[in-house]
Amino acid sequence: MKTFTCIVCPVGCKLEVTQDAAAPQGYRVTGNRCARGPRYAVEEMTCPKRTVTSTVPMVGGGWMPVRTADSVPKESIDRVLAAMRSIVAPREAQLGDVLAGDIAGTGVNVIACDDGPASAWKPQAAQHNQ
Amino acid sequence: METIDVVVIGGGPAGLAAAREASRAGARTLVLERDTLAGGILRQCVHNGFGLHYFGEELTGPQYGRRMVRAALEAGAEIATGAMVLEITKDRVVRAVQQGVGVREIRAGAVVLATGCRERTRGALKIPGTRPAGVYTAGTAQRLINIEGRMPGKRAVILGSGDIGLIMARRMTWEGAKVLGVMEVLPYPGGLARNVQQCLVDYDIPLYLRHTVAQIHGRERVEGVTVAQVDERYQPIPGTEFDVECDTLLLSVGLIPENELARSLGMAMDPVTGGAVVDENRATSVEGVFACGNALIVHDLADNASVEGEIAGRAAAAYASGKAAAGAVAAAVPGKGVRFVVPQRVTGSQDEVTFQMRVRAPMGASRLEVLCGGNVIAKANRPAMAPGEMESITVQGLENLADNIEIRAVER
Repeated sequence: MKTFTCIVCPVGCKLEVTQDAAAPQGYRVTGNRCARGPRYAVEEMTCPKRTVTSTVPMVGGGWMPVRTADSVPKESIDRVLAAMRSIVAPREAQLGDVLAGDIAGTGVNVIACDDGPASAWKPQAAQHNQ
Repeated sequence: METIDVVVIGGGPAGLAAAREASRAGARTLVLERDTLAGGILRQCVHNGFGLHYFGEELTGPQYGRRMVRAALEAGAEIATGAMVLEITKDRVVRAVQQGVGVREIRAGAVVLATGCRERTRGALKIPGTRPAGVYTAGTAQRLINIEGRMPGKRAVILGSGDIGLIMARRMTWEGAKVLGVMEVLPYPGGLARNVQQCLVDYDIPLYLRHTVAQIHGRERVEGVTVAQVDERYQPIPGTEFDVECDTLLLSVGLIPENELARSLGMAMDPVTGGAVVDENRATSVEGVFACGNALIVHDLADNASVEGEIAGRAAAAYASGKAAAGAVAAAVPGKGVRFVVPQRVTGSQDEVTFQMRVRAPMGASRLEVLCGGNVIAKANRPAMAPGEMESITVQGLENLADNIEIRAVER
């Protein structure tokens, strides 16, 4: 049996995972308070994954916060971080723009987590302000 | 002098949520943000784990902040950055200086204080030793790395296991630094369990419970620290000391609500939370002034600051439009096992009120009980509770309160 803390949400359930051929995915999970717990526990036992976040330089100065759009295998984190170091974000980047595809061969994109200073995003002016 | 319905001071999640809701309610709303960009401390929290409750998906801090900025602007709020408030008068004249604009004097229909919190520093801890460079609060290190692109050091010890310290342990590791350990005086970690897992356990960074930094060494730059086990009164136990060679010491030893403006208004403050005393609408003791977010209580989650901002924003818009605020009829006080309760006052103007509180010590299977006049009017079981995790309980039927409310935590 293995015990670990669920990292899916801030509750942090203490999960207990036991190998059990009779269970749906080969593991019996207890201690979870929601359905995401067992899913995370099985993934943690078979192929642990994490989201990687960092900052990359922006053209003309400043830094753009970035993330992997999805979680990547835990053992690829160092390669992902290394590959992120060669990204330079355009000033026009917008929230969610893909800045690098298939980072370090993980099949996961790296996306912008903010609007750059030259982003085209403008608010739709609200009715009562007209 | 300018006239604006609702002036929100602080452009973090609480302030932006307040501005959005005030604007949606029809109030002309202005956010005054001291930094060069709005978003608050979320901007430097580049890690993921935000927004699961509020947005229903997991976001990084900057994603969360940007969504809040966009939503406030879309609702029609105006955001002034590089704008620092110097003074608020009792009749709600806000004096600010703004980059590129100069002095602004604004008569506000209502004011929302969403000024956030600041970190406790070395001065508050009285660690003996020299005063070399290399001692940072965790949040300062976070700003250096994530906003300014500079590494504060190569070998770090972290004092305090608050969430920012845990997050910075991982961040520094990812940027090539060696994190030698996290020291916590309490017998349990200060931050969320999941951050202990994904920031320390994942990288084999040791967490020393019941330990502290007893001394800092180095003249120009930190050269090391002496770590010691602590006794029940948090004093170092002689004979347990060991030295750790490092060039950086990060402090993650607590957050203090920032309330200079509130105090200058003579506002009633809660000595336990460090924030204002408020009712369920987040109205303070000063007429027409509301408070929300980490300026009111240090929240675990940005989501909770946002929800609180919404409440304050709606109430501020209502006040500015001339709807008189109801007077408080009852107090809500912490009972056995509970350190504080927010809101501290109840007017009975809302059908239901969510109280937030922290317990005094970790508890196993337990129950929160809300009492009024000696009767339990609401209760909720919890599998476990800890001081590091904010608890909340929603109570209905508070319109005709005859007695004060007490909230207690009991084992079951």
